[in-house]
Amino acid sequence: MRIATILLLVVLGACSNNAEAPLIAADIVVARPSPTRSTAVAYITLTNASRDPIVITEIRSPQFARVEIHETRIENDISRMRRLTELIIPPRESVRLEPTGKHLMLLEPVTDDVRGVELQLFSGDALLMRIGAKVTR
Amino acid sequence: MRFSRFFIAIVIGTALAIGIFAGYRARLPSAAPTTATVLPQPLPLPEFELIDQFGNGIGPDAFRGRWDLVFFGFTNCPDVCPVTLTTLASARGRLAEARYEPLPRIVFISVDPERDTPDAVARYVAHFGDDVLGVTGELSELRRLTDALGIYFERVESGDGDYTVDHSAVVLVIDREGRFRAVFGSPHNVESFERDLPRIQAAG
Repeated sequence: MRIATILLLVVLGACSNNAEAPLIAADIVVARPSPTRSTAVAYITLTNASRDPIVITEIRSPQFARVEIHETRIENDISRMRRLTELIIPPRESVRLEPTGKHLMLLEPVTDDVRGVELQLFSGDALLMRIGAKVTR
Repeated sequence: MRFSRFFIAIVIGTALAIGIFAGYRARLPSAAPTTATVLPQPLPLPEFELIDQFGNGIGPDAFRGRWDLVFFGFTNCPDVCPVTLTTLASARGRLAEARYEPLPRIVFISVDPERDTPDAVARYVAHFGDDVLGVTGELSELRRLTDALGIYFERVESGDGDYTVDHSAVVLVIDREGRFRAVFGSPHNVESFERDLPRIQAAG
């Protein structure tokens, strides 16, 4: 089932300013899963085009005070969500952040009406990539 | 010539009758559910008193006289809950398009009553269609219901002052008598509900 159908959302646009880097971002969706909450969730497919693993240790956003990597697992019909300390993308492979799987939680917006989001992906102190996306409802 | 016309009429009439019968049989949900698990004995709902999205008290009587698909979750849940509710709403929509009756009501019961006020639940369920009822209430009353139905939920601190809630991801089928009749395990998909719910209902 398509993400757009699942969440009744439409991807309005996304871009990366680092298309030639070993890390490639695609299928970006930033959405508010709950109309009662100001936080947002982000789904994205990250591809490592290099021969070395890429470890994302931190994600920042100018629009949110905190960005956390979470993973939802359903085991024995019980849904559990946990925070991950890092996201490893093996060489020549993709990691898909998607509903009911790994995803980004964007917490504590710095403004009341966040419509666009920039995500900054770090490995240690090194900025790997900036990603821009519009927030759908 | 007269015999020939009579013979043709018989053949056409028989073919029509077979066609009508076959079509009728095809519409009958006579097979057993393939995804859902039907309880050997329906389980009556226990006594409980929660609050619906309008602020009204709601107990087991509110589940009598109609079929319900019940899901336990919380409005801060980022993916499993909205995905499941969207799946249920889509399945209900497809059944409605097929003019199937009786259509089920979708009931969302919060396992995070501390944050999910009736107003919060009302705004949340409004995103999943018209015939979705949101329920919240006191934790102790919620436990009376979930313990009786085998529904698990537990608050888990995330260490930064926030918390999440682990919870069962199943969908329960409550029948017209207000009894727990069947359960859909996860992961959920529209086709399973569209196919199996009529079969469960047809069993009585």
